[in-house]
Amino acid sequence: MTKYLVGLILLVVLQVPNALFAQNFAISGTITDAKTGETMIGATVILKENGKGAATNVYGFYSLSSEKGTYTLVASYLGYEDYKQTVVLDKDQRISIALSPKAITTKTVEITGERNDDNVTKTTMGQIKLDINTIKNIPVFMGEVDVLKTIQLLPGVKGGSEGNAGFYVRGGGPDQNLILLDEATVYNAGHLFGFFSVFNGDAVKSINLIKGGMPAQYGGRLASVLDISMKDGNNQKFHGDGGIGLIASRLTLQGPIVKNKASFILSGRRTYADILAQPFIADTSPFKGSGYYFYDLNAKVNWQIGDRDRVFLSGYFGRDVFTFSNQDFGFKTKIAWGNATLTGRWNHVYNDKLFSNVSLIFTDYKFSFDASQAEFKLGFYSGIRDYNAKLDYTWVPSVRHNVKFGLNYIYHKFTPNNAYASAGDQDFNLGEPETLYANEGALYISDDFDVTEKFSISAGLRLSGFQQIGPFTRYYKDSQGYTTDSVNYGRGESIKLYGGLEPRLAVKYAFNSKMSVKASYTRNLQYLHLTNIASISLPTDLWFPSTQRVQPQIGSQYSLGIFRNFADNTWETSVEVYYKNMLNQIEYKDGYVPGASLNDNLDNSLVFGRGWAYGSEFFVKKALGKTTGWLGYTLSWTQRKFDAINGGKPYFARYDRRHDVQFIITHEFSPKWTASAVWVYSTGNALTLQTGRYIYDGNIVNEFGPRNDFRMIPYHRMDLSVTWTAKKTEKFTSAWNLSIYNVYSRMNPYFIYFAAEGDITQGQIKLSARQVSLFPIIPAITWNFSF
Amino acid sequence: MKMKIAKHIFWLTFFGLVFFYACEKEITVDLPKPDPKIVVEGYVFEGERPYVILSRNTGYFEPIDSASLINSFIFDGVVTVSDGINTDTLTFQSAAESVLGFAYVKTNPTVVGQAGKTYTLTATADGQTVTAVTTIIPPLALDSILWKPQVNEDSLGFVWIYFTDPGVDLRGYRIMSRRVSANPERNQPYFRTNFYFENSLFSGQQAPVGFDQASQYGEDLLANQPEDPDDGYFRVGDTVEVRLCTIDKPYYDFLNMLGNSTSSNGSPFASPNNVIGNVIGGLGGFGGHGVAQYRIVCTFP
Repeated sequence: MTKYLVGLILLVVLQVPNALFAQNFAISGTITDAKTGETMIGATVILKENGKGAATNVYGFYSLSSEKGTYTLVASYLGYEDYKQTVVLDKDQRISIALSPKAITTKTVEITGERNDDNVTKTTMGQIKLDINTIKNIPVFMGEVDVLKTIQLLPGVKGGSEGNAGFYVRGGGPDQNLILLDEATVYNAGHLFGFFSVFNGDAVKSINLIKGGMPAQYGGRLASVLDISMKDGNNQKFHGDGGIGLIASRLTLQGPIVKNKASFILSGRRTYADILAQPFIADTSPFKGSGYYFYDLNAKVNWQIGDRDRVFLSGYFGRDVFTFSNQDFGFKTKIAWGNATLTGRWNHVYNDKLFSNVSLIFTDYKFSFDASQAEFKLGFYSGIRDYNAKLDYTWVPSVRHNVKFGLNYIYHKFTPNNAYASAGDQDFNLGEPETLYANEGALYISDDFDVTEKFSISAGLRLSGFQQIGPFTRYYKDSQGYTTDSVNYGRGESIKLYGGLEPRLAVKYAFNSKMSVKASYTRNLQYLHLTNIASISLPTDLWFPSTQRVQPQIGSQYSLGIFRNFADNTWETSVEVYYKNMLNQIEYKDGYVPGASLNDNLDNSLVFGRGWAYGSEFFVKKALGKTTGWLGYTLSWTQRKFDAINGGKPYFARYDRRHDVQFIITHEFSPKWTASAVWVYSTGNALTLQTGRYIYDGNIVNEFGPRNDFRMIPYHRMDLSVTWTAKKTEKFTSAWNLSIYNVYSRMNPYFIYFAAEGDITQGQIKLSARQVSLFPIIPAITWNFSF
Repeated sequence: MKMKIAKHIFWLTFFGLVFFYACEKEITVDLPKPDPKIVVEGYVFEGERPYVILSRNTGYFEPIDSASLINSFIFDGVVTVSDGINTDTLTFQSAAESVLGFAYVKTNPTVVGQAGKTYTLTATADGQTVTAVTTIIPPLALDSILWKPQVNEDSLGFVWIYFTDPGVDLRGYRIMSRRVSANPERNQPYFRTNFYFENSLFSGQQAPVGFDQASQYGEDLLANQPEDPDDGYFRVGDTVEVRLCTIDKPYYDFLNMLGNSTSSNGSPFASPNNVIGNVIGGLGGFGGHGVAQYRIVCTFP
């Protein structure tokens, strides 16, 4: 495989002189929305005469080249008027294009911004791009538009438990998804225990999900990349959007700082259950001071400096704050968690064939828990902080090649679990806080190479490395759990180094513009791990680096797909199969009880094993017309095997689902009325239940059966939504959205517990299993406006 | 310890939040039967003879009534305990030290709990043999012991003990107490456990620990028990006997898992973990206890 890739890269290099001698000229530029000045991601530019084309990158930049001649250049994007221009190609030239939205918005309910036959003709597989407008039309939970819940409606992507925004891609764990917001890693994408995601729909421009065939420019995760781009801000005129919903309200302001050159966007969202409830909690209530809220702030500015340079500065800050007081007992708790990211970027166009981007990124995720009662104070905190620098180049040497290369360096700081406690003036020594430091780096190169009209290859190679560095104290334990030895490492001292090659390969053969087959192989290394105790994702889950004991996760994925479009690309269909192998997976060892640990390392409580997953995904989508939507079905298996768990026997992962069905339909009745429906079905979650019990010192002690051997009943649910655009003028638009979650009020299981009733002295104790369901039918109404 | 309580309150509140919407119903689940195993509940307190209770595990949904409870105990097992020099064979008989009133004990023991000694237990029953080992860590004298009234209460309060961990090893402490009184209604005949905790939080330092009455035997099993009016407190004038027991780390780990398991029944926030004890081949735990015993009459400081 590697040998082949090296050959391929050589081929790319050898192709370059050919491209130069063949008297090719390049056209490059950016494509923007004429109304807002926002750059457009994935817009296409085609030379009509020879069909050669290119798509814009995440910065709206495109570059294509062709032989000398006169051509008709056509730029297009779904929902926008095509742009046509005659080009006399006798020298390299810059053509930047502004596309206008279609005057009569007959296609506002199109499902994605994906263009025509892209799904068949592009080499990439397992990639789905969603436009934020698509997401806004899908029924929402409690009135909140949610990026992550829409992702869960795609084949191969599974949601966690009821209402949870966490997701699992092709048998990968929740830590194996790289979630990027303007290139900054978001380590915990959930609000309110995961019922809502941190992405405010009003500030988001586009969403790209890569669930297979990950290109070499991405790394550090095994399963998927969810690349979310924030809006840049309208550089034409000042503009506002907002919404008032059941649990939260939003306001977004954007506008030019210097028209056509610089713009800003500022977006905020906050829940208000606590504020609404406050007047109803009497000052004398013991629970005064209890409450919960979350908020998000997104801000971005960008400045176009001349024709060749553009700089961006964007940031996100969000927090969940949970307070609980019981004044009768003098008890106070505050739990807060959230992400902060800051991204600075500089786009530079060297020439019509070479584009670069430099990014400096800061990411921080924190969780803290503080409690006090009388003179007792205690708490714990955990977090992860990254300083990240990236340099990415796109080089388009000829129309057949699109080369990307670059490098990336991240400095990580992990604080996995640190506790403090005091009673009055007495501080308890809970040991030195366990802080871990690491360097992570990567170099990559990839080429999308159209070998012939029908056959194309996308090949890449990523070289990545990871180094745990001091200061750090390593504790060694014996089989009894006693610390027998420790080693201190100084600041910056190398403790452990890991690294490896990550080849990525995708090939496509298109029989014609309607049908193609694609295959891909990827190998990924992941140096971070998420330790998870509970059966659902929680903000208390800890990020942990690879260390001497914890080796990097290694994933290989093989996939094969057939793609066929019908009726002039109105209908898109595909079947994909995949097999995935995951090494060095972690779990807490059996019987692990979380607690403060002096003279210990968290990784001493972990055990290691492997996982594998395979399945097939069937997808039918109607992309065009007044009625749009899709039907997805996934048949899959996900298993794990750990020597120290389940007696060394393989077991199903708790997010293993045999069957998964998603059905989404949207119909536009008139420009004012749009309705949509969603139906989902999936096999019940796997879980471990007690099969036996015994009595010890007057307590009933449960004995658990084989790991994840029990299945909950299947999950299914239907949601409906209706959007009524009440008013639409140049100056002001307002729309009402009515969403009904779980229309037929299916009691889907959230968890199962066992209850004991009765009294032994009265005869007998009855044990029963009880199933708890979270959400029955929940209607929600939201009013959205823009001016 | 308090952190655990705080965590529980956190999750309880969360549950409160979701139960605003949540609904619950009884379901039928088909559970396989567990492999039959012997459960050992063995104790060696310093200065006392070892006592052991043997029982069997049962299928989760087997009925619990007085007959099945009695049947779950093993009366015909063979139990030996050795301190490395002497070995006693214990027999099933009535035993005053056991809350149940019976246990495997030796009438004229040669093996008695002694600080620093290691004890090996072997039990054979139902065709299975299990073994367990425990060590008695030397006991630790209290720095002080006192009673303090609780804020907003004039005659109810907590007993506080202060002691200093020697900081020499990883170990557990188990605080046990009982209220002694001439009035049989207020007299608690057995020492029950208030807390157990690891010294990792305060290794080498002084620890203040305040506590109320310990839960009585089988409070979980026996619902609808008449509630003690002083539940949650000791009343001024009460006489309280307190034991600070030192326990070895494997036994502490067992108790910790036990406590965690019984408080996390089905919670999606806890992992379904089996309690791993120090009994090889079976279930349960065998614990050696170093004992420092004190008596306090609750009076205003």
